[in-house]
Amino acid sequence: MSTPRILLAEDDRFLRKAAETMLKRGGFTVTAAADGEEALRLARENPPDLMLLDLIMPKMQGFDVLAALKGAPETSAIPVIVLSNLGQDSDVQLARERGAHDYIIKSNIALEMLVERVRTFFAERAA
Amino acid sequence: MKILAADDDALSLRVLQRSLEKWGHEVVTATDGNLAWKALLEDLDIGVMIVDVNMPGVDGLELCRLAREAFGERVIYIIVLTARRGAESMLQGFAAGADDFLTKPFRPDELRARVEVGFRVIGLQRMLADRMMEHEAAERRYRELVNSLDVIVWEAEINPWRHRFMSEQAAKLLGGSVTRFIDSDVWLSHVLPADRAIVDEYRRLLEAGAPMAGCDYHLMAEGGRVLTVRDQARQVFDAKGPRRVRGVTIDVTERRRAREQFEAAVKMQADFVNFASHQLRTPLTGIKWMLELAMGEDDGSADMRGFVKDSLDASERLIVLVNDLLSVSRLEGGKMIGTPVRCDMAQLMRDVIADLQTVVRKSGHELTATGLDVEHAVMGDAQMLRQVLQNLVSNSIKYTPAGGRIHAEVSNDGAEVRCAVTDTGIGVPEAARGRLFEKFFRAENVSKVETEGTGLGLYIVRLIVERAHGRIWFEPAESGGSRFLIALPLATTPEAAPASPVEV
Repeated sequence: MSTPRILLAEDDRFLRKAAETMLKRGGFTVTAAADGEEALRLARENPPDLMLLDLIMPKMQGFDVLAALKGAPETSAIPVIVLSNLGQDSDVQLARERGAHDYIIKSNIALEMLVERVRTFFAERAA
Repeated sequence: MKILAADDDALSLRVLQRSLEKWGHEVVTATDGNLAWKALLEDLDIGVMIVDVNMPGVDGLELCRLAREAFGERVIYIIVLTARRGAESMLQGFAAGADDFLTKPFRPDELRARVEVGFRVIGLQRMLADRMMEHEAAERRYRELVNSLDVIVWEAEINPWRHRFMSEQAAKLLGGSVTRFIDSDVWLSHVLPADRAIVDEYRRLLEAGAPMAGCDYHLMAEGGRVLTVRDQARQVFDAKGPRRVRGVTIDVTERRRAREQFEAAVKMQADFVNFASHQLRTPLTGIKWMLELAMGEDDGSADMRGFVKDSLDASERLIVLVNDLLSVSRLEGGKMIGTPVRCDMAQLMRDVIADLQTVVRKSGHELTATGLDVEHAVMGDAQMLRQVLQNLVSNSIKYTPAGGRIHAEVSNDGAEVRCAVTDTGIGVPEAARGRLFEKFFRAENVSKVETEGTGLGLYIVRLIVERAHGRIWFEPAESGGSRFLIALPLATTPEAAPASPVEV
């Protein structure tokens, strides 16, 4: 199996760079998007094996990207893990309602653990 | 009380006076009708008048009539003396206003008996008059009180609705005079059309015999001002007359507005805190992740790696602080986070212990537990309750020197679930025990172990426990260490397994 392709949607350049670096080191192929519109366009052009999606982004909010993805048959199968610093139950619930597979609060997770979670996701998927 | 005796026959008058005085009465005498009338006018203490019918000038019967006309309020008992026998003159006397009759010559004991009756009647009448006055004064006071209240007090007949009483406040709030409400249902015309159904239902309840009912609705005052009112009424249980209800209507417009403003302010504050914490956490995460990457690099001196490690620790501490402040803000804001679900405290304790295994192995503590093999269910927010246990066990690890023992225990007595975490650590000085769960409080001995705590941990724990209707307290452990206990109401209704907790 070829290396899993991850689409990382994150507007904060420090976070984007850190996550991208670590995921690449972890052996994944990573494409990064800096806003919601770009993320949606990249997902449509070339559906990834997993999308890591920030919620608060310019141009298009993560919640709307999620709804657009899940609403179209060609992108509805893309698994999405929300990666946000919004931590209210209402945010988590809304993300899940809109089809997010998982919800991670960035500030509460070590970068290494993030890669671990992604790895676990693919391991479970393969099983 | 005096007796006025009036007779133009001087001898007869003297006999009368002597007899009466002998029996202890105070007597005023008059030798003709004019003098008698003058005495009546001047001496207000005269309560009984004995008057001869036949007198020159104003005669006895005339005097009776005058007295009855002039002293409507003043009560005088009149006994008429006459020489004539027969029903005719007696009836004349009664027609003129006399109360009693005595024929000359009279027996002294008969006079005495009739005077006594007069005094008794006057006494009763005066007492009655006093009572009436007292009653009127009380009613006036009551009415003034009711009218000075800043609520509307009303009474109405039902079926059909007609107000029988309406206090002045109704006029102040709705305009016009209160009389326009009486004997009508003008009140209903002030109810906003949109709220008619509410008022109809409220009235239906009272008509159906509900002992008490109440509702909130809006009234439009003259001039178009809209008021929010709370109306409450109860049945008047009174055998007489048609069925009535009595109620109080309170203007809650200002109170309602103040509450809405307060709620908006609370929401704005909560929104701000959420936004601020998001904005703070994003760059903090950037710092932390970048430092993690730096830690992973092989190049650089040992010093350099130490500095990076310290920076990473500091960034993590800052994130914990921001998270704690966010928790406090949410919990203090009273915002309910999710509806309570059934949570197994044993399961949560097992999770917490599993999470801390690596930490414990590294620190060399001995961490044991009992009571985790059966369910101890409570109602609450699983994430938050887990945070409580996590905090208590972590605290024990932090404040127990390496090699010490920590024991977690979950039990229930059929009413409450108890979780206890006991350690052989540094304990809590007696002076600090009462303040352990206060915001920003840190015990002195704790500050010596580590200086970086926020003083929010146990405060947050307390807020969560209290929100779940539980208690938290401290007991010194036998070893000199600490024992923290929480008690939460046991969940009674068995349910399906709780929804898997979300990662927050």
